[in-house]
Amino acid sequence: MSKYGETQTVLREEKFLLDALKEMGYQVEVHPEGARLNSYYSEQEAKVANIIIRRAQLPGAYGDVGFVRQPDGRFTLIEDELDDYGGYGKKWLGRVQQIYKENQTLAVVQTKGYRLKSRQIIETSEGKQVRLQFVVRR
Amino acid sequence: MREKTITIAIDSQGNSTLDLEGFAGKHTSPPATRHAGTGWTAYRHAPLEFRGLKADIHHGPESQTKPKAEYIGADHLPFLVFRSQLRGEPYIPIS
Repeated sequence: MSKYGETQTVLREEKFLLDALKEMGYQVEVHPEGARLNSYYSEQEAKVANIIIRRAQLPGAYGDVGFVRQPDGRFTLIEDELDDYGGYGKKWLGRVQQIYKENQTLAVVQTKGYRLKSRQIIETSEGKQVRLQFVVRR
Repeated sequence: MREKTITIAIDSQGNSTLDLEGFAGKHTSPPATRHAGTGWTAYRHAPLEFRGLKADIHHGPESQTKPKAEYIGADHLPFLVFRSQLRGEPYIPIS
């Protein structure tokens, strides 16, 4: 049996996190004051999160997945420990962070006057890499 | 008008070659003093828009390595001994 565990992320901006999760196809609950993750068996003690994806949307998951904002502004991922070893572990979180970073980069760089010229997906030994090329006229 | 191009790579864990906080864009404001004393000083001669890039651009000195050898806390790990009985079986204390 397992329980909900926590993983510290470097994600800070809620907008880009929500965009990333929606882009992955999830319907996300947002609770500024926090809401409880459901307990599907006795070891899953009550945990509170600000952003929640319910288990019904997570094929094969043992529990809900949540993100809770820490006092320093970063989000912590809360999920069942079995899901961390299953389909919602490092690779899944990496995908969330990659989409987050791409959206954040597009938003920030374009406000600095750059225009997106091309977007490529490169297969590397460590997974897919996104390459964005920007141009600026001076 | 000249056209400038930058390429940003984001790996499968969301790590980027661009530090968005250090990215000044095409503006020519003076360098941020909060970077003083950190690795960012290495980019002080680079065009402002590239200061956030952790790419192959190195115009300044590398990080300052101390010239003298010093203790770096590389202690040996504790050496654990698991005793065996004469017949080679694990030693299990009987309480």
